[in-house]
Amino acid sequence: MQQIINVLIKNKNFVVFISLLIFSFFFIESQSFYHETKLNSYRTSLSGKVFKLNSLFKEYISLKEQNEALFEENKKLKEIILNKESFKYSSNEEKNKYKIINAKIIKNNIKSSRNFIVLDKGKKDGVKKEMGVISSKGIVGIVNSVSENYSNVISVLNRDLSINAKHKKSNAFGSLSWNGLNPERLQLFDIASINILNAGDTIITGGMSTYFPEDILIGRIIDYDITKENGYYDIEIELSNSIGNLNTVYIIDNKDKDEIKGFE
Amino acid sequence: MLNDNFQLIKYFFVGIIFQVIFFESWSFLGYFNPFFYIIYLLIYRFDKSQTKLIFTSFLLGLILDLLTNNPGSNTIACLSVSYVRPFLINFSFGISGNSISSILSKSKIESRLLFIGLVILIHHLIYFLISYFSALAIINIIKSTIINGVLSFIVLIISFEFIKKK
Repeated sequence: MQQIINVLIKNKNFVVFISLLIFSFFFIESQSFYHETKLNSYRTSLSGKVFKLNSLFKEYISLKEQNEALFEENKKLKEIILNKESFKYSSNEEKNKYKIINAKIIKNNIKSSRNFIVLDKGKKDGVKKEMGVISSKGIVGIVNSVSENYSNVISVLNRDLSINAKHKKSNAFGSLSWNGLNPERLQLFDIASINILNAGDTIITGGMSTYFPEDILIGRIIDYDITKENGYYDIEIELSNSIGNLNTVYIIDNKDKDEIKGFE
Repeated sequence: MLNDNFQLIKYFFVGIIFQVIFFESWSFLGYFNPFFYIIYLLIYRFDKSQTKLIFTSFLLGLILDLLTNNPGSNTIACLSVSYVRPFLINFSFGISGNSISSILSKSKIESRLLFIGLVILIHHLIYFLISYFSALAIINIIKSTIINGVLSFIVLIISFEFIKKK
């Protein structure tokens, strides 16, 4: 306290000057409407900047919550899209053919030729074996095993996985798999050479399996070749999804799956 | 000592009276007029308390603002000059500044003119900045500072010559 007083005494001229200057500004404000308006506008501009900084900080703090909210909203929108073809989307979730479960990736690997992904949702969240997993950009894999709180997904980057896919333009079906080499490229087989293909054509899910609904993006053709012996194309596809960079995914629950499986 | 204080009080009131009665109504080219009351800020002895100068300058500006219906430009301009005055003395008179006790003391004429010029420039600049209080009026601020400054400079130089002769 003594030190503060000493500093104030030492700088008394400055203290007196600042005090009187502040008083002068109050005096100006009370005397002139013009100066009052100007000072008010400066104050508003200054406080606006402070509030903006404050709001930026608050926004940053609440980013996680906002992300969760957007993720939840995306889930609802995905449900609407997947159920759109029959115009059967209902706010009553029980009536919809597809149900979406949000999940976060807690472990992901793309280095092996048989890659698996671990998700933070399990049996208690409604995840079951053989459910399809997609992201906002395309397919990711199929649920392989489920525990109470976690699930293990066979990634599309797994040599053992084969997915039904189709060429969007010609509607020709084929079988999609990975050769275990480049994590951005998949191979599509069994499309008859009678169909006309072009580099850049879109490949989507075929809907012939119960894992994925129809028309979910897989990727684009970057190269193709005709196998002379059997008359089928060997197609190289660039994956729309960058599997290694994913954080959040959607698990698709096809409610008719058990019924369809009954016929197989 | 008593005489010094009396002299200061005299210039304090003479400055106000001359400014309000004579120089405020006298205008050059319509709206330019000299600021005679600055004489108090110039004539205040260099070796006297600065705190006292800050208080009295504030009071001088405040009285002028009230009498001339000004929002507060005189107060802030006088207050600012009274605070920076020691720096201006050092700058104008250099190392010999410590041995000079007043602007009326014997010193180099160019140092005295520089000191008067700087005090006028800072006072006028702050005065017009506060009066216009807008960045858009920067041309007007500079113009008014220069023209009024020249007028004030002339009036104050004549006044000092008159005081010295007396």
